[in-house]
Amino acid sequence: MFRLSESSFSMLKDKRLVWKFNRGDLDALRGIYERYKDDLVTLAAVLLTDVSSAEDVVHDVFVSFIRSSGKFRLTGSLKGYLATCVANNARNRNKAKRRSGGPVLDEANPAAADSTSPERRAIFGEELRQLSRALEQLPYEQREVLLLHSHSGMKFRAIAKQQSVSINTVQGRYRYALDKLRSMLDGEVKK
Amino acid sequence: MRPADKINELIKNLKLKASADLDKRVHDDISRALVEPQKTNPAYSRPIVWRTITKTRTVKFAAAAVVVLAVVGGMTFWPGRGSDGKKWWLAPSSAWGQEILAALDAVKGVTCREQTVLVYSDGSEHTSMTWDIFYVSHDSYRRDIYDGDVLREIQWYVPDGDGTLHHSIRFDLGSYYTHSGQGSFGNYDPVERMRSKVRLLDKADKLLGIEVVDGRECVGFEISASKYGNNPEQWIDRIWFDVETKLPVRIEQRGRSFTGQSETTRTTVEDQFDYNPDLPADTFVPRTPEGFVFGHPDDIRAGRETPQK
Repeated sequence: MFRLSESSFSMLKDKRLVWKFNRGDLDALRGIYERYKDDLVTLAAVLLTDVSSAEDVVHDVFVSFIRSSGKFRLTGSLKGYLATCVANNARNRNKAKRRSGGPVLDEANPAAADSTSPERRAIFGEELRQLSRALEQLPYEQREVLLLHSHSGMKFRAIAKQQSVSINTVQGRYRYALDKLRSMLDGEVKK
Repeated sequence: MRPADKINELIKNLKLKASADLDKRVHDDISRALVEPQKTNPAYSRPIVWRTITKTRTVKFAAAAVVVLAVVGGMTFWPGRGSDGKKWWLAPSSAWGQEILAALDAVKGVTCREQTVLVYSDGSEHTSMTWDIFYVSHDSYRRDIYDGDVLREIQWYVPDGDGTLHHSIRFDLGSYYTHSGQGSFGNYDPVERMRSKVRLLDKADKLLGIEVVDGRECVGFEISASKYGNNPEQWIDRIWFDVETKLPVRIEQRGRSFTGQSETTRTTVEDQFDYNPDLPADTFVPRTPEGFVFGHPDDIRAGRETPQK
């Protein structure tokens, strides 16, 4: 018997939601939000190392998305599209903070970077907490590539397009980020 | 050592929950969109394309032409054959396309310049300060990246056993980075990119005619990038061939999106092609200037941006 794979089924479901959304069906919009909100908040939170800023990013992304009703064209995966919007917004916030001289994610941010903060303790188990702390040590560009590929399931080619860099640069960043994470995590285990 | 799969699995398992506050904010915005329908387009009673076609005579005619072309699908775009034998581009592309591919196969090395031009919504253009010079031989690749007149970076991709050595030096950071990997530099190779475009010429949308480019008489073709890959219609590629040598003189990739600015588009221009140039013997030999430190540019930058405590 013919059966759709999970990813094909998910893609069809997205296409149907987008089709309805473009025709003014706001329940479809709610459906899209409910379907991806947790993934997007997670992505933004790890990129920005700050949960409240992460929620602002996701809110901004959905405000813009609402305005695109009627003219939104889905050319790839919806999750990838929304993840790209979140990553762009997060990057702009990071740049703006850098310009204004405020603390940025690659700099010391004790409240966010503290792996024992109550917020993080409540959210992640020990292993994920270690990972989260290690991710924060990565340069922003590498962390973004790693998360968009491994967490949001985006292809290297799509990430390269989003970041306006070559696919080789993206693959290099991914490989380098993995190597560093691996050594950091192994270091934690050996301590 | 943890395998990459294990780390990927851990990253997939990272999961935060959106707060009730965020839920409320987004759902409130959605509800507002419901009571302010002018901000979102209402449901269409019919597909918008159909309405456009039936309303305007020009589009109706164009649509009819598209239908006719679709019916006789497989017909090449080019209508005639060059009567004097000189206008080879008027003959079926199946013939001269092979000639161009053969000419490209004979190329032992090539250098060219690549620039990025930003095109704003009012039509004005700005050429990026950053531009590249590519050097390509049959198995090696080098890219010199300039900021204005200043050489910022050199990247080499050269054979290394069964794989490829990637070596880069950053003059602005005083650093170098090197690693070996599988595969080749195929994504960058301008000759390979030319080959792929030539193979698509029988699907070209427009003949741009004759124009003098870089002092040479050239014939240009235009093709939508939607003809290859999952690309938008508005991505347009233009390629200009030397009428005499049949080798590309200028390649433009127009209408590409520009990150963060939806009204601005990006055009990449490759020109100043020099085929089989006489290059110094060490062009493809990676080097590291004395005193340069090892490190990925991302790390070097991040390290310098972190305030010293």
